[in-house]
Amino acid sequence: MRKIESDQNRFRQIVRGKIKSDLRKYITHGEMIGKTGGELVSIPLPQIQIPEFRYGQKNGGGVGQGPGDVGTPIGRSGEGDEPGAAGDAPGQHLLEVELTLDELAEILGEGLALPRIQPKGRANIIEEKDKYTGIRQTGPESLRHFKRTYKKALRRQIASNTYNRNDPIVIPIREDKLYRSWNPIPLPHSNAVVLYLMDVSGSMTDDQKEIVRIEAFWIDTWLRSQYDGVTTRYIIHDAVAREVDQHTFYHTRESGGTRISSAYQLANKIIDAEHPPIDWNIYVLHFSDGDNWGEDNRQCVSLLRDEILPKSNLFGYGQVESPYGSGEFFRELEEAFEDVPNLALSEIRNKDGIFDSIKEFLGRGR
Amino acid sequence: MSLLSRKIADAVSAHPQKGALTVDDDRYEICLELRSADPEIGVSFDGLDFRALDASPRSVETLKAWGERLASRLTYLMEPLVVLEVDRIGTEVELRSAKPSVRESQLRYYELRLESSGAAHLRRVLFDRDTRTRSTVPCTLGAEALERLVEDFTATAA
Repeated sequence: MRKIESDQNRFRQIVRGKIKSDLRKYITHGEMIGKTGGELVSIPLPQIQIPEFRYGQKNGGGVGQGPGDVGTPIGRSGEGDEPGAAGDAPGQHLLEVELTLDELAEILGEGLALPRIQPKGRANIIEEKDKYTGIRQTGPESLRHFKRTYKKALRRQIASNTYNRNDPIVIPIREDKLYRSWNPIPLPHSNAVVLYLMDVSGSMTDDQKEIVRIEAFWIDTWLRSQYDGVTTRYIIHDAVAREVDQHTFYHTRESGGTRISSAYQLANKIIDAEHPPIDWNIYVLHFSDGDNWGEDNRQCVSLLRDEILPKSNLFGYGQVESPYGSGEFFRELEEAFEDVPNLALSEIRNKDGIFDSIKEFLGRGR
Repeated sequence: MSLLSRKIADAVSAHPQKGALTVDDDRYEICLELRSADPEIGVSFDGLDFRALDASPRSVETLKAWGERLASRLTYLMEPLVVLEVDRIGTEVELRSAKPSVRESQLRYYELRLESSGAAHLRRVLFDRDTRTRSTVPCTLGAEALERLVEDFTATAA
């Protein structure tokens, strides 16, 4: 290893340590989510010193030259007494470091002491696909590369002066024949699906959705580090539920009433139709302010007990506090399900609650 | 002043006891779950239930329009109301205070539900952040404000 590489590694360790010590702050503030570009996340680190050259002892302690006695202030008297005007130069920039999402997930796992997930189903099987990438001199006739074989035979005939331009017959011999060869290419196989469900009824404001967005980012980052492929599905609901894309998920506000069971029914339908539990690791994460209407709570409990929980690795319910406080749905679930290993409940009062909520959801290692 | 608001004023003037206070005319009925009443000061009640006697079903659009009319008129309560949720499946509309009152760790707001039968239920809700619970707390209105409230219900429900 070259010296620069060990220095770089040491710097990365310092960065990791800094992020880990301030992890709660980074999780709580959502601005870094906007800085994700592909696989990299840009993180501002305000209190870290950039490596710099320093002179060793050998060159230190020199003797100055010039007029004046020891102790005489440098500069002319009277200078520098006027108060300075406001500066117009740009301030000191924050140092931004780039981390891969995998590194970020690792820091999250270490910071929250998250257990690694034991996948089920086809989680350990990586699909392989044969791709013709090379040429060999042996192989079945069905894989003979006609063009390359012809060229090689032509080159041989020209070189041995047996090629007749007036009678351009090229006859390949055994040594001319070339065949396609293949290599198995491992393909990442989607083996985990995360269904995000969110209440977008009138009582859920933009602040609540921001909390959901931040939490979903970290949960996604962790799950993606644990599986070869993760598929995400987004469902919004008020009194009725529908599947939407990610942008719509975070930016929709409806004025309908809240019927949580509509989202559970749709999630269950999607699981049954497209993600059979025997092959998929299923995560259902629902966020609402808990203001469910009417007798819907009973139906929700029955859907969870009979359909969703038996099929899911984890069902997480995060209740975010709206301007009207927090609804009763959290308590209903608490009373209906005691010590269910794949059910995680979390009350998120504000952004500061995101850290503990993530730990509650992912701390089960499921 | 409508017949119903005059009747409620008379009923409050008669120093009613704690309990249900119901008045009606030929079209509507108002029921207050009284805690206390004083003709000089006003009333304190757990909830106000307004009911249209014809009970013909209203569409959700009708309820929403009713909610918006009420929200524009009920400006004398502690907080102005807004139509928050419109449930097309259950044919109900919910109004709440636009901005709840916050006092220390407690939130207080009005909640008004309009049903397809033409019924309306007004409550004041308290959410305690310490205990994480919601409960109904008494609404307190001056005598004149109560008359105006009843007047507004009858005027907008038409």
